[in-house]
Amino acid sequence: MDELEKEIALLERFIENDLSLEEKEAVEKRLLEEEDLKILLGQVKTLINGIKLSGRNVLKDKLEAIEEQLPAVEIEASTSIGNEEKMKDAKIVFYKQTKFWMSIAATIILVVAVKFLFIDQQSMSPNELYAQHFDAYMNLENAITRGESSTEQLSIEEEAMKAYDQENYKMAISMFSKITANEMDSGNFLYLGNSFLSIGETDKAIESLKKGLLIPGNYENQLNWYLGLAYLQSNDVENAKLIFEKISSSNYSRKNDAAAIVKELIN
Amino acid sequence: MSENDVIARIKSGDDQVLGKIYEQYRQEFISWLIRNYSCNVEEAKEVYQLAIMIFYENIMNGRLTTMTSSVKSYLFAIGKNKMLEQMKFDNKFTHNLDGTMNLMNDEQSKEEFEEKESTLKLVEHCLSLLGEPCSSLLNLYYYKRKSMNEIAQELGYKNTDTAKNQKYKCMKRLKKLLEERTLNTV
Repeated sequence: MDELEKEIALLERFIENDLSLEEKEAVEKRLLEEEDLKILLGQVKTLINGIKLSGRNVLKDKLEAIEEQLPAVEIEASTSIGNEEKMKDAKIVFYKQTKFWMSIAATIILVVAVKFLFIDQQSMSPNELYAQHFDAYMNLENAITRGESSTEQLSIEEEAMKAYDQENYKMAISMFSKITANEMDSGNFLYLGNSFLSIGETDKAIESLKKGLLIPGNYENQLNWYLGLAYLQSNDVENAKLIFEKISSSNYSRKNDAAAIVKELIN
Repeated sequence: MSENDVIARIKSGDDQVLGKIYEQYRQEFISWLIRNYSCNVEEAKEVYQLAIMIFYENIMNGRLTTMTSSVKSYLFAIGKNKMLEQMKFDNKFTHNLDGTMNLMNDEQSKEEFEEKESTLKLVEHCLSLLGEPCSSLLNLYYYKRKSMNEIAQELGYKNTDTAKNQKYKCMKRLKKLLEERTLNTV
């Protein structure tokens, strides 16, 4: 390997977090001092991202090829309520309705509306409710810009938040676990719990969110909301119901969603 | 086929399984997205394809090894996240343009974003110019996240070290191609 190849190999391992602590610190020190290395780091990252984009586009082409072989998507006409403009290009196919409704000469709109109501009232499983409602808590307070230079000195909280923002949940878990071991802050438990939920470690998510609720703080509603979702994911309907009932009678912005979940769980 | 069989088969390179999954949840997912997020069919299809790609990538990169929920729940959760992300992203620019919020630095941020995007497209073009074995080697390592051992076997290299050295040579050539193209476009 020539010098440039060796540098590329080193930076690649740096990006993939595959260096020992000493090696990592040595690279960080060099990055502060050597402008060329810093530029090369940016280039290697760009190349890797470009290769990933290319891989994704190859897969996208395959999916497009499958898509072309499939029949048009059937759209329920009732979905166009309040959305007529966007539905112009949609191929609307009305569902075949029961003879009963046809026989009483209901209008097509009425038939479709009945079908829509029927679909909507089907009760959902806890897992489906979870999938419908779970989106990882957004870090709006301390947003770290994606792609920021990795040479910048960040505190462990900022590093943890950066990993979280970049959806690198395993890294976020490792960092938030360290932080929460030393500092009792309900917000950090919220992010730790969300990270666990995002990678499907539901039991650990429940444990973290419960710990967060023991600490007085500003995140009680959010912790409860995600704890409820974690219970749904683990199929613990009883506890999920208790939590969402509590949220539905609070002032939390998601109280209506919580009430809707309770209703689904009762059905 | 159980959910975990699906993961194992996709991981082993069985593309047909992914195609079947695509077909299986397509109708339900797209209808659900249109119903809940006021998007049109084409937008919903885009999100569905993205959800399938993320599902695939998470299996290949080892983030998804076992499933506690169904494939369907997993895809729907990704779809919802992506729609919310998209709305948040659009809002950043909308708010920024009317000056009421400053989540992105300024208009330059949008330009920077577009510039990065066009550089990535250029890398993609350079990758096609690289030819084989580089193109496959880099794709297998960076996109499909195969180990160097697996790559050595798949592409017929003598051992892992030979494959590794070849990879760095490919990266160097790709870097050179990109630099030449970037200079030409400036």
